[in-house]
Amino acid sequence: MQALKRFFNRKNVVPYVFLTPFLVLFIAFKVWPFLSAVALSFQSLRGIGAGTWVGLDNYRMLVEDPLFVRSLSITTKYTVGTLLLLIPIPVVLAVILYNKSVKGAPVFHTIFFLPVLTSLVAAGTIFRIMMMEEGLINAFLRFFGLPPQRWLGTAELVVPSLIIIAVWRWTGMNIVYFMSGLTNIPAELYEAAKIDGANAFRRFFHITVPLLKPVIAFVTIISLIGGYQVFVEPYILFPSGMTPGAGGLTIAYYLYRTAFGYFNMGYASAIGVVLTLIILVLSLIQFRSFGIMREDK
Amino acid sequence: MKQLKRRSKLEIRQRKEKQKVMLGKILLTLLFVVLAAIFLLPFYWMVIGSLRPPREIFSTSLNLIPTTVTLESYVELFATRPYALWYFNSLIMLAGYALLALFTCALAGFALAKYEFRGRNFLFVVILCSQMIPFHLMLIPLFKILVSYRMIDTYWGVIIPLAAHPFGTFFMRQYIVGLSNDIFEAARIDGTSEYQLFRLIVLPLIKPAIGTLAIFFGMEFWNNLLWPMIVLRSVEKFPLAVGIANLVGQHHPQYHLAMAASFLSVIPVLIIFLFFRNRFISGLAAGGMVMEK
Repeated sequence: MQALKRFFNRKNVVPYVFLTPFLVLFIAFKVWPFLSAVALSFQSLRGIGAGTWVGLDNYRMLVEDPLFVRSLSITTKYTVGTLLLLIPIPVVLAVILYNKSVKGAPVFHTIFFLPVLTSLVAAGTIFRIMMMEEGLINAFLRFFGLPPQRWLGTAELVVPSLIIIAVWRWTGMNIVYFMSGLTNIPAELYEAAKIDGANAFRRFFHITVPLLKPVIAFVTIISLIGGYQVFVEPYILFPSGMTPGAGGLTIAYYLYRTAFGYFNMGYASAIGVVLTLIILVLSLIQFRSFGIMREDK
Repeated sequence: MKQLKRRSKLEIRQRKEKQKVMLGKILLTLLFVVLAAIFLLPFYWMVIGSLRPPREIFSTSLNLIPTTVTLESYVELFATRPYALWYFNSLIMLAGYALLALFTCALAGFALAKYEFRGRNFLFVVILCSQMIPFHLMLIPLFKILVSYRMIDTYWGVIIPLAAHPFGTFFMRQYIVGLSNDIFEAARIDGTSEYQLFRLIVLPLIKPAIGTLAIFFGMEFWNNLLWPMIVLRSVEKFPLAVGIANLVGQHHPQYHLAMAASFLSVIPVLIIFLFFRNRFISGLAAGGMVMEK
């Protein structure tokens, strides 16, 4: 007993004891599933059990699969669309709120943040109800004399609908990131620029934007990574998996449908590997942009 | 005389400038009021939709104010669905997940931060890299594991595979690295064992990090639909996310019930947010803050 106690208190044993709970779970539920999924992507497996090795067949099929190609392009459109809106709008809002250029800035800050508190499922649900043909958004359009749209029934409108939800849900979160970036910009810079006669626009583009670059880079990357993995919103909008013109079939949704709708596990794993590769490439860009960050400091 | 004139001119110009700024502020505030109204509209529609007769949810004309207010949808929700159970399930699984993840992350983070051991750098790099792997890829092997260990349709099946949290470990490690070594050395000289060290010194010191991560984990689980949806089969075991998704699912979507269920699900988060506003925001921004360091 005493010997055991002494063993566990040895300086080169202690850290491993501390690591054990994490490592056991990490290996069982992260490392092994990862390797196993990569292996599965080279197999043909329907349902559960043992697959047969088929080499690169799944990947060959993926390249020729119009649905997969479409899901790639939809997800890319969605991600780029969210980026184009969810960086400039929150930056401008954050600057206005930070400088207290409006009355009651803290109240507005809280209001913009509230959507972050709704779960993705609740957000998707309420927007689906508002986007139906006789829903609130079309009622507004009719009220202003504009033609109502089939938001969830037209292939071209599916991605814009998803982007609308994303803007509502994430603007407040990005404002928080940008506000914390703004606190790091010394006020003297603005004072000096003011004395030199730079107006608000020039100050914004010549001081705020360049100095926010590291935060903008960070938000860009988390938005890219999050955007490519989008699943809940399209699933809630189109729970049957039948989206108009496959307009809502994002990569993650296609993977889910392939695995748990058609039980084509090998093929679904290949989709997962491609998704992982996309995320990896984007993450590498992230490290690069952090390199830039260090130079700036 | 000339000087006086110039000064008064300057004053007039300053006053004009001030007026301009004031006017700009008022216009900007008006714009923000409109924006805020747009942001609040979905909340308003959710509350109103849950309180009006179900057939009034959809309409071709703008009916922002209900003619009759009724609790019909709530009564039906609790009568026909195990909604209270969904709530309970969410809390149980969220608490279990957060506790298990906090425990493993704090221990591993401590080891990575304050001990020298073989393979430490390698392990750290592996943990960092594993953050980038999307959960979707591991979905199928995880599902197979659960099937072979008969963990499908259990709370544990939902919680345990999520609990090894690379980011949480990374976060804890970053926090603990910043703690001064002097306290540890002093305690060791006093004869404190390494395990007591963790319990008596590290744990109290990392309370802020635990709070931040708890909110991070909590919101993560709150938003998770995919994994519990795959693991759980019986309606009585669903958390809120799966329950609500089920209400607007493939067959006979019940929009009025979904509105009532969504609204009730937002309330606890709202309350926690109002009480711990700053901790809440920093918890959600945790990813950003670690990266910025």
